[in-house]
Amino acid sequence: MINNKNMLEIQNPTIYMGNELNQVNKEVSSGMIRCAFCFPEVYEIGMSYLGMKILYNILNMRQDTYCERVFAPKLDMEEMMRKNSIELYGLESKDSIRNFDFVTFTLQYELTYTNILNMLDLAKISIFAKDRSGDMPFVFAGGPCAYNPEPLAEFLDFFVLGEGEEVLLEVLDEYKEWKKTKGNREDFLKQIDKIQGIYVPSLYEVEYNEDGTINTFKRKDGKNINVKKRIIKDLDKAIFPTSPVVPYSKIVHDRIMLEVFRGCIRGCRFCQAGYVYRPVREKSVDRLVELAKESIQNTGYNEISLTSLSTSDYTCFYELTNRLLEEMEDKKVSISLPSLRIDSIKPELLEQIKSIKKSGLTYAPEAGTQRLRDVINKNVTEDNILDACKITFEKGWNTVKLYFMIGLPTETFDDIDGIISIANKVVGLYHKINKGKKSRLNVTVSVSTFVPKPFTAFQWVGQDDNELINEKIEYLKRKLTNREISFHWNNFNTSFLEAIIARGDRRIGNAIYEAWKLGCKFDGSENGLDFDKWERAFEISNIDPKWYAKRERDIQEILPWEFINLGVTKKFLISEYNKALNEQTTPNCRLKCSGCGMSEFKGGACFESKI
Amino acid sequence: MKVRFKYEKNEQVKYVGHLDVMSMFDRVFRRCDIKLKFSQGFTQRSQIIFALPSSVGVISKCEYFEVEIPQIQQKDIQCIVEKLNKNLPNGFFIIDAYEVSEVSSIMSLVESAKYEMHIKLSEQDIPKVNNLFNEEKIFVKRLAKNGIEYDMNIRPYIIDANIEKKEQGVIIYIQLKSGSKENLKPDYIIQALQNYSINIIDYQIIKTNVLLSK
Repeated sequence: MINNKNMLEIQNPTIYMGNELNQVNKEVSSGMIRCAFCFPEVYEIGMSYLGMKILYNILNMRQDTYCERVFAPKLDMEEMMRKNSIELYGLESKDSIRNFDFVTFTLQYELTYTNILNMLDLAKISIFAKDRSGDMPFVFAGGPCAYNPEPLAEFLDFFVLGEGEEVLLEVLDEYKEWKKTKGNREDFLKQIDKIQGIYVPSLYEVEYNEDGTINTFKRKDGKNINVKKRIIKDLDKAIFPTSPVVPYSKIVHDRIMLEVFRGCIRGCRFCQAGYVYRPVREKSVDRLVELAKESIQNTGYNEISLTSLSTSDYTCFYELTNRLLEEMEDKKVSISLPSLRIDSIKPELLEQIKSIKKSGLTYAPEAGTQRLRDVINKNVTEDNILDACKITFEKGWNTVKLYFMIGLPTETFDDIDGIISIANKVVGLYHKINKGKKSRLNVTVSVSTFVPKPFTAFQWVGQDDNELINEKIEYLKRKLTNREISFHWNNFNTSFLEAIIARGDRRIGNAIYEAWKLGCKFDGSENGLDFDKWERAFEISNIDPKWYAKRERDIQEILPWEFINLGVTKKFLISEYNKALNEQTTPNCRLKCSGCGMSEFKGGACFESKI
Repeated sequence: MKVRFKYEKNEQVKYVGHLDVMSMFDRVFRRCDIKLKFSQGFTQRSQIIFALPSSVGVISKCEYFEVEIPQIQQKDIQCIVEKLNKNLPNGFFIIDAYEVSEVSSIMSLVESAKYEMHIKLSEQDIPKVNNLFNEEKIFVKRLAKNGIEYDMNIRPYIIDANIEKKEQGVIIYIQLKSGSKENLKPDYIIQALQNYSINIIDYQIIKTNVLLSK
């Protein structure tokens, strides 16, 4: 380990030491399967991620397995580690993860990919899968970005598609069998290739057309492709971590995260999560109350966040919040609701939030005009937005945050004007309600650039050119002059890079590798992105970034990710795309089944309603 | 009942800062279903009062805090200690607990603290350590409340110091004035050694005892 004097020069050294409340401690014995669960971001972000808590718990429930946590060290710690030849280690045992059986990364965001390469390098594990020899760990990944695995295909041994609770255990069982046979790495990969939810990129090959598009994507052994995502059918029965590790120092989401349901009924056309997490599967109120009580008991936290893609869509929402508030009252536990739809805001709801703790409220109209909100299938009206703000101000709030996207398909400057108009109307509303009082209003207008994502209705569209994005941002800056409005926007190069990688193919891997070699890391953090270096990396690897980000794809084109069977069909995505261009909306899954294809998986709400 | 707890903060958790130790104990009490007296302010917090918390990086065999636990009796204390120890993260350990009178807070009782300072040095620097402690005045840089740096003589704060030569350096056994009136953190001894052009390769401070007035 690094000596005490050096550690004291590091900012917040606790995050590299583990030993928090509820950490799993095991005696390491021979034959034990050792897993490193790596989050390619800093501790404060990674420790806030629910998926890691779920899988850490499930893996460690196995007697034969020890799963440890690993996060990306910050720059000062990385320098110290390299100077002292300390390899990347698991927080629990402090052993180098190079000697583990599995090293797994969660892919939450494309701009963490250079961190993955950097972490492998810090662990002295070969960066390219083909260079890994017998005693090195198998390196794999899962998470939402794994639905386009191709940009990382050269680096990872395999991918897990969909929910990992069951499939990981099957992989571990196969591993134990394989260990007995003393086979080679390929034998193991071929064995797990048969498991639903596993994709082994080295068993596939891609050929390209002269124009750069994919000509064929096929298995090397000539067999039919059958890569299908995994889901947990009954969430009530799924194991949920009620003793998560409780960090010492503040993290981004420092509270209990109670997962209310998976999937989303809404079908917003830009939203990858809305498509890939289908079908909607809810936990019962009884089960949730039980989990909440256990979690409070085991962690000593005094805040519970009800998490899901859109919590107010939970069928028994009020029953749940009322029962939780009742149960927790004497324990002084507060409840927070991270994702509220604008059309769900009712006075009773805000009363409940307020009675406990006054947190900031964020509403997401996403687009400025009804026309564009219909294009993206947001299904909220301007009246919904203004009503929500009216109730908010009437209940005593002085701040509200409005979130929009710019660069959405078919957007014109009329839609940008719509953003300005909504913001001004919200300000007017506040003054009408708080007439004569001294204004303490702050309306935050937060704008980010649209990034077309795989497995969405917009997977074919080209992202707006940077010049146009910049023009739209400048326009908003000029017009949002009211002093009670604060305007936030993100760097368009961040969204550009995200768009390049999100819909990238195997060749993008070279650019990621070159960028990492040039020193890129933490590309997603505020000051982390050095786009000049990325441009250089694209040049070296002979890649035209605009071809990936800004080009509109033909419907006929073979997309790098479409070999994955998501449940949601290509036919459905095409029809959603066409409806978008015709400004037609699609009703939510509870109003009417739109036949996305997901019912084939025989799980969740859409299936139950059919019997 | 007001209860005073004495606990260890060991190697595994030595970098956990004081505020984080406080909230950790707060959570562990809740986890053990031991209800503490809450403060009366807007944001209700349980009142855990620490005496002379150690700096980040210090291993401590003697940390103190006091809490008000309503509705318990003398005989419950042992059971509470066992419960806490079962629930505390590795590295924290309660070694003692007893009832104290309501009157004075523990912070005002602290008079001095004893430390072992394990210092890794090269051979030629070892005599210099002895020389430093033979000086009549030992100066360190200190920041005043207004942000201006000034020189302070720490000699009067050192009650006792013994130096033991070791294979790769020295162990300084030192007793420093501590508490709310006069207080010197052991970090200043490290600074004083460095100011004396002693090249410290590594060091570890271990707090061995806190002396309370009767």
